[in-house]
Amino acid sequence: MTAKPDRLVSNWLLLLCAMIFGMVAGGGHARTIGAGYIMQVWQPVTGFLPPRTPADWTHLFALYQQTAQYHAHPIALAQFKSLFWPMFLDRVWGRLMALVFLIPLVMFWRRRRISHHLAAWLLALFAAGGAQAVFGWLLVRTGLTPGVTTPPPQWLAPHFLSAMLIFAALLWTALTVRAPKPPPIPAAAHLKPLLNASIALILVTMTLGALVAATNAVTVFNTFPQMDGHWVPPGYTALRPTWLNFLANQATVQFDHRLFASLTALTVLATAVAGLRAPLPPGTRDAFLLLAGLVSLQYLLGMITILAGSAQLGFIHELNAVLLLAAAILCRHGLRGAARGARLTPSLAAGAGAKS
Amino acid sequence: MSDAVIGQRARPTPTTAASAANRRLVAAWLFAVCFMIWIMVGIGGYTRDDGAGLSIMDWQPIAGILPPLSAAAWAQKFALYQTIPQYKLLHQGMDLAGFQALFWPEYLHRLWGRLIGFVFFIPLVAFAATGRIEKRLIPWLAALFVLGGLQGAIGWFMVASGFDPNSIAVQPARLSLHFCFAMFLFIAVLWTALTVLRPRADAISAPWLRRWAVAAAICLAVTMFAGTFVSGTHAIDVYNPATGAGLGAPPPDYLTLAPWWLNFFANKAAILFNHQALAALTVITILTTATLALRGAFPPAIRDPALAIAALVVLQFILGVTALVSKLMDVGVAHQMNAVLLLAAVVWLLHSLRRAA
Repeated sequence: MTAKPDRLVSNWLLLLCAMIFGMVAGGGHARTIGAGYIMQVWQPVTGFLPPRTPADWTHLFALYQQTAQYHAHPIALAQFKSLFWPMFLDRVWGRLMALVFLIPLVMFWRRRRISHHLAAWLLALFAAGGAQAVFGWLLVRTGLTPGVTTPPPQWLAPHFLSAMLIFAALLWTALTVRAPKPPPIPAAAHLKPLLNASIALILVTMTLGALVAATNAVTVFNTFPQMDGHWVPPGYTALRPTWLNFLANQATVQFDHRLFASLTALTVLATAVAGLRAPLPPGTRDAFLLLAGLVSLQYLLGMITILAGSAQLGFIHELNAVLLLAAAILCRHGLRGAARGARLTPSLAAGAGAKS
Repeated sequence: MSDAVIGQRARPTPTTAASAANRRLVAAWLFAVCFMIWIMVGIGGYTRDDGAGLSIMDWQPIAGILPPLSAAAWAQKFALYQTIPQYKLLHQGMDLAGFQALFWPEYLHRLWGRLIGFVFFIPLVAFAATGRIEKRLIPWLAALFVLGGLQGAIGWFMVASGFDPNSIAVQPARLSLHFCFAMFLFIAVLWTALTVLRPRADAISAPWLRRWAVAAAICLAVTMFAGTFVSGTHAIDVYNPATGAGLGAPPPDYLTLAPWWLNFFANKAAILFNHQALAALTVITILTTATLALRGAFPPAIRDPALAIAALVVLQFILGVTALVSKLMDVGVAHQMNAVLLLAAVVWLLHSLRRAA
């Protein structure tokens, strides 16, 4: 990997991160309106072209009519079209991302602007994006399974988690290309494990949140902090076998998300406080401020979502979760050069403050 | 460290009021008083939310230390309670055990008040006699002690308003007075403790930050004042979980009472909305203050209270929403106690930002 900072390459990778965020928005929207099963066709290359003739529409509609969802809730062609476009846009967006990824990658590589090492890593991430698309298609194909009327949680949650892992890897790479040499930060080594724990908890809570979305658990227990008067909802293990509760039981899934959200909020806030008390460079300090602000906002959004029982608010809550993850990665990246060492003593810090 | 070095050279007598050890001792005592006032707010809030505030119909500053000790004494207290409107309107037919459940919180509140008096007065005399307190502080602290006694009288003035005909609770205005006066005493003791601990202000040139902190303190004070009326009128009754009315949006009957200003103190829907609107303003002001402080290159004496106000105001907002939507009494009490912690953090920040003499 090149040792010189390269803003252009970094900006390109950050643009890809922004496009993944857009993809989460598009996918989240498609799920919120219930359009996940609408496109029972996948043409990786020619799928760029929208349906034009009435015959195209009839064909696509006929494919959708094979799903269990259609049999449970038959819809007219007009409604099919209105659900089709968001899903179509999401897929076109995915293809656009592939182009924005691959074309500059080849160009940068040919001009030796990126090292072989970095190019190989980025190709691996591109392949991961391709695998994500294949997984997404298989998720859509579950709509043909008899009795399955909405995308199953065991498909939706991994799809979301893997998207977040790709997002995190790309963001980390973009930041590293921008600042290849970690600035040394004395006396901040204790923050690294705190941030690692925060990032892990954020990812776990986000995955549990995907389960809430997949089971539509936002429609039940619209009270806070208790769940209809119980701290632990009755029927927590109502389903058999027991493990099924953690995927498909609305009460269980919502309780788990609430529990881990609270744990995550406390951990992230403690991390932010520890970071803001440490002598950090201004950029990293601002990342910690952002982290504190976003986690507070995220908790409030979650509370309001569950009180209102609103899937639309849940969608906003989902998007803010991605921003929160990004802020945590920004903090962690700023700490690569953190080392053990003497803390800045209060008197030294006071002297520095008086001078400024 | 530096104090110890100077101490070895100059060898002042160990009883000098200005010695570091004595300043720490006096500050620790005053912080303990602050802590006791904070607990007092918790007990008082519980008593109010539990509707137990009217269960003792007399005020005997000395003899009231003892609870009823015999069945006859209980019967006498209970008979007295049965004469007030709250009993007739709310608790008709209540048995002695029910009365005792109301009696104990109010008794504990009053007993704790007396205990604060002792914890304030006895060390004050002892420290003054041994020269551990600066002379100029003694009249100020003595005045605070007298004002603490006045707070007890205000409490009784408040309770007495609950015995009015057809009344089942104390007057909200008097409840507000009682709480605001408690906060005045809390701030006074806390500021004194901080000044004793750090007699000299740091030379920090940040007038803009001070102005923000003052604005934050004013917003918080007004929000807490509005909050006393939410508690006093039980305005959370307005919140309807089914429709969401009472959370966020201004109510349609905002100005139904005349004159218009009466709505701020007697119209539940308006009171609840005002508290929420002011709370939102306070959150924004405090978070802005904290962000500005944390982004500047300030010493820990400013950075730490800035962190404290940011964390506590977020917690306070979450507790407030939770108290409203859950209508859980304990959450309401926690919201009230956290407000005092937030106030303490803002005072701490202001103290760190005070002008150098």
